Amino acid sequence: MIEYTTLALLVDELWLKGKNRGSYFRALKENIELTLKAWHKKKYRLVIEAQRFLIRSETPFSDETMKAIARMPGLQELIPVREIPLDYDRLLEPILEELDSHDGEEFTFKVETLRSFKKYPKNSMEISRHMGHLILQARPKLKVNVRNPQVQVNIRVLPEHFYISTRSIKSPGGLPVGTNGHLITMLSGGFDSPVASYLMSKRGCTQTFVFFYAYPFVGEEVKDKIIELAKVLATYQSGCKLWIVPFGKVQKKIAKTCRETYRTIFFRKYMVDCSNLLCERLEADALLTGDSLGQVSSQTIGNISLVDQTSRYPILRPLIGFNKKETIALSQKVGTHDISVIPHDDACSMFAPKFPVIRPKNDYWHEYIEENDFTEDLNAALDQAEVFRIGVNGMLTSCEISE
Amino acid sequence: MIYLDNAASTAIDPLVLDVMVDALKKHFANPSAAHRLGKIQRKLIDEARSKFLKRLNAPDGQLVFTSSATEANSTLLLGLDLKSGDEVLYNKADHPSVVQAVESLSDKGIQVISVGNRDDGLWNINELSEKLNAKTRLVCLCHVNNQTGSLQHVERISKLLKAFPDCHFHLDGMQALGKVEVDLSRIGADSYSVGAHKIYGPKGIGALYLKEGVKISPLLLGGNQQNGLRSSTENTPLVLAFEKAFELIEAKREKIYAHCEKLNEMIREMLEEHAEISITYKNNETVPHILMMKVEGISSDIILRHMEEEEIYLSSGSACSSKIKGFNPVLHALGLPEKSHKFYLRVSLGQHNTEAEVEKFCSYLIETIDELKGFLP
Repeated sequence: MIEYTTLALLVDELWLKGKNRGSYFRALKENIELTLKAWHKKKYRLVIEAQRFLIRSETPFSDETMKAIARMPGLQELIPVREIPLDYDRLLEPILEELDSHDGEEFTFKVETLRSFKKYPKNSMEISRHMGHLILQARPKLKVNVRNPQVQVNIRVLPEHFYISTRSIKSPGGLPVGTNGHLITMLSGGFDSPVASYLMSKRGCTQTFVFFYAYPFVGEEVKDKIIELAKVLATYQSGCKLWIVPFGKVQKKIAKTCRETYRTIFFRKYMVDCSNLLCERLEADALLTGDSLGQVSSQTIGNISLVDQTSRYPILRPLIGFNKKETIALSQKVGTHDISVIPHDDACSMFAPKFPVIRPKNDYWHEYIEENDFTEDLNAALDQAEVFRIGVNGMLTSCEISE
Repeated sequence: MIYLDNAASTAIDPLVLDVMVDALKKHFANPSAAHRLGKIQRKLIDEARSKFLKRLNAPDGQLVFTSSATEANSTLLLGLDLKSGDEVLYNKADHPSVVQAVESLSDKGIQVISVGNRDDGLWNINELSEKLNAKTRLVCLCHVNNQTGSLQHVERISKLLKAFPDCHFHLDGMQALGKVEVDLSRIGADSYSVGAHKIYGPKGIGALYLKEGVKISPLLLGGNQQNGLRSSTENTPLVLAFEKAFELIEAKREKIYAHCEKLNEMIREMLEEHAEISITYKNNETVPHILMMKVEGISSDIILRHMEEEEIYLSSGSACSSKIKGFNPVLHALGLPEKSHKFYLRVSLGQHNTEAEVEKFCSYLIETIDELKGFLP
């Protein structure tokens, strides 16, 4: 196991940004520093060099630290690097050590050299070719494959050092969190909303999570599941807050007063209303849901359209065109799949009418809304919400009642 | 707060707590120590043991203190000298600490054979009689079923087993102790498990009674405490507290029984008329402390949480299995259809419950059901 004390972080879309680039770099730097504070807890130096970040520490970075940093949206990949003094005779040995640390003895490789220090006497091609030759001599079981190698040995020539690397961890890419507004993410216990959250983390959105907790119709285990999901999503967010809003009483009121076929759609409408109120309280910019068109009755175009008409804030729906299988596949990558898959009680399906309305009637919809003002109940629910704060390392740091 | 979950656990009696706290302060030395502090404790433990056995009307038996009734059951069921080909008869509707320990014996080639239950919740003694044979080495049963409250006809079983002298008769008395008279000489069991926390004693202490002459291999090996039957330093404060709890409950057992009988009747009267509620078993075959009921169409966990909001605490079937949704192996063994399992509730009464509490519980239960059935599909 090789210990790395230098990490190179490549950024993704920042090259697109013109005058804003500085602020995007600053946001990314802040997020990286927060992650290092949570995971590394040792002295380090973070510098920006040739449009990438370099982190150096006297203490080696643990695997967990590297993985945590690599989860940062805005990064393209993390490369653990070894810095070797600029002495050509000392270059082979660390390269062999790197190769020996990979699984198996018979993989294919390729050497790729980038000579940033142009005054260096050997050119890139010479270095790559010669090192390849020396590697084959020392490790005769390895084979060269220049088109599709299993391991690529990267050598970078700088004025004072060689940088060598043979592995990297892929990052989500996109934009750093904190550069694209603040969303209220409506979490449920399923596959969709966590994936939607991940996608918008990649677009740089800061998120506050809200869960409508239908106690006493559902139990503590549902709340625990949501907290577990938020813990994973917090690692893409440099930490986050989760609002658990008691919603059972409101749902009971709605169920008692509306037509049975409209229950689900009105539950949805008042959850959106409550999220609007939270948006206002937190001065956020928009709502985020995991809706996918036509997936369930409350996500028909008719229902989505009606709900949107009553929302003052825009509702972002990054999964609107996703098939369920695509979402589930992505949830594996995000790391929420194994939590989402745990069965849980869901109040909406508990109350679900046999035949939910698919094409809601405008007249009844508006009539009901006019006759039933739940603003006070929704504000009371927000006042009684439990607010959990989760760190970038996915650990709960505090819980308080919002009021 | 209205606590109607006494079959799951009970609030410790202040007098028991005093004994325990006092002993925790005073008796910190090791009861096996050769010095005076050890000897004092040895004497106290021996006295507690003999008082305990006397109360069980089995002064010649052995009593092994354990950490729980579960440990007592495992000690006996795994410690008996059973061989491949031997047969064991048991009730699948019993507590998991019996059922699982028995079923694990099949790994050794022992035939574990379940005997079913009658519609009234009692173990089917006719079936037991048919299944008994010369190879039967063990019959085990819960004296009182923890979910249904069924009080088994243990003396009849004991008589039946007289014709099979090589067959060991084990009873789990966790739910019986302190509720009904436990006269082991009359019952005639070869072993009997008990625990303290259902009789207003502390958790962490149970005991296994063994009839004189019964031999078992110990579950725990080590310092050979308790005649080598349970190695581990004896917990003097818990032993003394258990004995005190047993003494106190025995003094008022009949009074509590009558009190629970009255409360049980009240519940039956208040609820039985309700269309959605059915009381599962008649009270002539159950102890009055435990009452099982079904609320048709409303999942018991939803009812429990509505009750919890009013600080009324009861249980769905059994606290040990409330996380298993849908299928409940105990209810299945009782012959109750799987689709109804999630509708069962268990109310368990204790000495502190009052008529006013029971009335409040019944009215709130009815109110909740009437409200919920209005909109739950």
